[in-house]
Amino acid sequence: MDSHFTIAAAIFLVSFLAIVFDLGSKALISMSGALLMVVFGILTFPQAVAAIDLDTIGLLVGMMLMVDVVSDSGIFSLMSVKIAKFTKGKPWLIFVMFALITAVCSTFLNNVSVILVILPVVIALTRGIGLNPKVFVIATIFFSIIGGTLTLIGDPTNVIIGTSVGLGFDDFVANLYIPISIIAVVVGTIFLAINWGTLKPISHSLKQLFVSNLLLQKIEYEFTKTEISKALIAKIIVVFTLVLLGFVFGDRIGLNSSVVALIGAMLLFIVTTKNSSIDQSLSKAEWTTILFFVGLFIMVAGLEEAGVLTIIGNEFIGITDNFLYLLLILLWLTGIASMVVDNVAFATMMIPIVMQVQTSLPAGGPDHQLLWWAMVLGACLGGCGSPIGSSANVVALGIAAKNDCKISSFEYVRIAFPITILMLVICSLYFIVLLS
Amino acid sequence: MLPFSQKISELFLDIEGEVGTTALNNMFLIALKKAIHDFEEKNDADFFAQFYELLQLVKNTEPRVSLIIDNLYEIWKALLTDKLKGHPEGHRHLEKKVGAAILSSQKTTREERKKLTMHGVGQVHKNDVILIHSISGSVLDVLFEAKKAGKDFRVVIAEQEAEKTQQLIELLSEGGIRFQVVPEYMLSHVESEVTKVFLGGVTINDQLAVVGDSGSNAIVSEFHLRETPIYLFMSTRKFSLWKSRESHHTYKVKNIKTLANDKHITYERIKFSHDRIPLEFYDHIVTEAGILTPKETEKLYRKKYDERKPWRDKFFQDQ
Repeated sequence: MDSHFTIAAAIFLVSFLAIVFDLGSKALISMSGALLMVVFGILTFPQAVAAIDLDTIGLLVGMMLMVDVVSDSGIFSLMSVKIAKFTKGKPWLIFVMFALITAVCSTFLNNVSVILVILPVVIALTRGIGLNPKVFVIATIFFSIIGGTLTLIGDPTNVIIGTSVGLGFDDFVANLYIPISIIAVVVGTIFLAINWGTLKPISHSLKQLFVSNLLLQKIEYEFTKTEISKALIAKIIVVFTLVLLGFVFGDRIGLNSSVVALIGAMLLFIVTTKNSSIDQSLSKAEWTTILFFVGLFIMVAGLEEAGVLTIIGNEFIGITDNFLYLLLILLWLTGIASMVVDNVAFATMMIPIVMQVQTSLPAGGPDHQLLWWAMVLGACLGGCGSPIGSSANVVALGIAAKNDCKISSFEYVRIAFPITILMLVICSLYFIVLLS
Repeated sequence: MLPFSQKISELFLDIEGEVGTTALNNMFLIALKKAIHDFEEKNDADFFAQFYELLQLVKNTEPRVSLIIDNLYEIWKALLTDKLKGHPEGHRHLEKKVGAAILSSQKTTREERKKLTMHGVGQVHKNDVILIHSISGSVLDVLFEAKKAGKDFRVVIAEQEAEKTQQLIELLSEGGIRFQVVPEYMLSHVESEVTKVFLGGVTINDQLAVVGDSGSNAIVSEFHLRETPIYLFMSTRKFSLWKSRESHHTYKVKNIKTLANDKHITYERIKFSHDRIPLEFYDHIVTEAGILTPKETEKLYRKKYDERKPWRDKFFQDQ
């Protein structure tokens, strides 16, 4: 074991632990780790620059810019109000409709952006009609993550895995729609069942119906004060449709996902010149997240260069020669790890290891691509299990606390952990059935 | 979890603060109609019991909103006098009655609003500088109509809570009305320019005090001393025709603020939801019935108060 091996492992381990235990800015930690890889000669500067996956960065920046324009347009607020009105204040319908809309929006928008817009309406509505908003907050987190798992652009983990491995938008949907649909239905049913006492119909209580209807009018007034231009909505829908088509068919005309997202963002700025500002959107982009990813890519390249990942990969392959067991180990390992560590960091580290595993597997066996789907499902869904499992959880719990609905870590884990385990069990059963 | 009475009080306060009492009343009626539509009663007795419970909750809000209570009372009276218990259609039949009462109330509100606006527009003259404060649908109606009528005037907005002031700015801006914004604690610097003060109010109570937005008291006092004409815009249906409660409705909020030097100082910040201003401090009370002096308003109030006695005895028997 040479000194590069030890230094690279030590830099990554210290940085990783600092990120996990939230000892400082994630961007600062990962960039410092990346620079140390260069300072200690594990990577040359050109090697470090080459390690940055520009496809991932381009896709993230493109989507961030597009989401910013859409969020500022007021479309989300309008949509939330329409849904709120449609529910007529019926608790179970509020639950079903908001779960559905959160999941659908999260499939093509960043989870955090969806939560930032939808959760305040959900809390205002549920609290106003006398319900405990906590269960709705946790359900919103779950459905944003479940929805985000389905597509290439729904979750940062998917962006990294998809762009690193070359999996397209349609690959994600085609391979994940079955387990995700099952999970969505099961999780929705469980939430409804265990909270039926508070979600049951209120049609037999005149005072509850009255308060619900008054509150709906208040919400409608508050969230739709600013008139939204129909032309703006039409432009946004057209550009988003084109981008989604680009994600699906782009590969056939030589456009990868990052190029499609960047073209979409620029097109959106051009057609909405009066209502958007690229300067403002750029200033609001999450540059710290981008730098965090850049640092991670370089650190993982350092680990690879020093041979650390090869050794871990060999150890991993040595555990079993049964492909199903390997899949399940990967699913549960990423799932459990994602509950306690940053799933993006963990996935970035695991990508080269899984690539090595993939190449070492004998040809002609089961579809090796399943390894990536196991990792995607584990990394995304595992994030539901703890308050720090994903950015969506952190942001949602922060919004809830700001709205006098503080959910303690224990309260969250008590509800979320068993459901997360159940989701991983469903994924395991899916793989078992698929391979049998 | 908040009790229902407090929940309704807070909802009323929130909405009234944002859109004014008349719009709150309208929202209340629509919400009531929809609630009755969606309600599935066990039997007529259940409907009457639940309606009565709602009525009790609404009439005991803090503060009481007379326009709403009167409407609810009218609906309740209509239901009782028609003796509809046992109707084969159940509460669906009652729903029609409620719907009719609501439509009638909305029609009355529209007519009153039209008359009140017409009286108000007559008070806006060339080169007037009109001071406004809170969001009052009646005051805004008058300003918009005066603008439409081509009257040349400008408005000074007394700046108060950011959200309310911002809303006023947006509304006046949309209406094409010239305006300036002056913080309410700096009004003394522009008081010589102001020719009229236009204010709305929630109600007039039996102590002949106008319940208005927080901050109104200071403004009325200041301009009363300067003898600048102060106009109160209020429909007579907003009069509170019952004995007022002693308590002033207040909020007490403890805030933790971080100062520039990062020192955390905890202090008690007390916010009051409304002011009570003596009616006699106003010069003109613009109602749907015409423009009255405080004395004339008092006389009208007393007359209505006496007329309401039998209802009051029945309706507020718990006082």
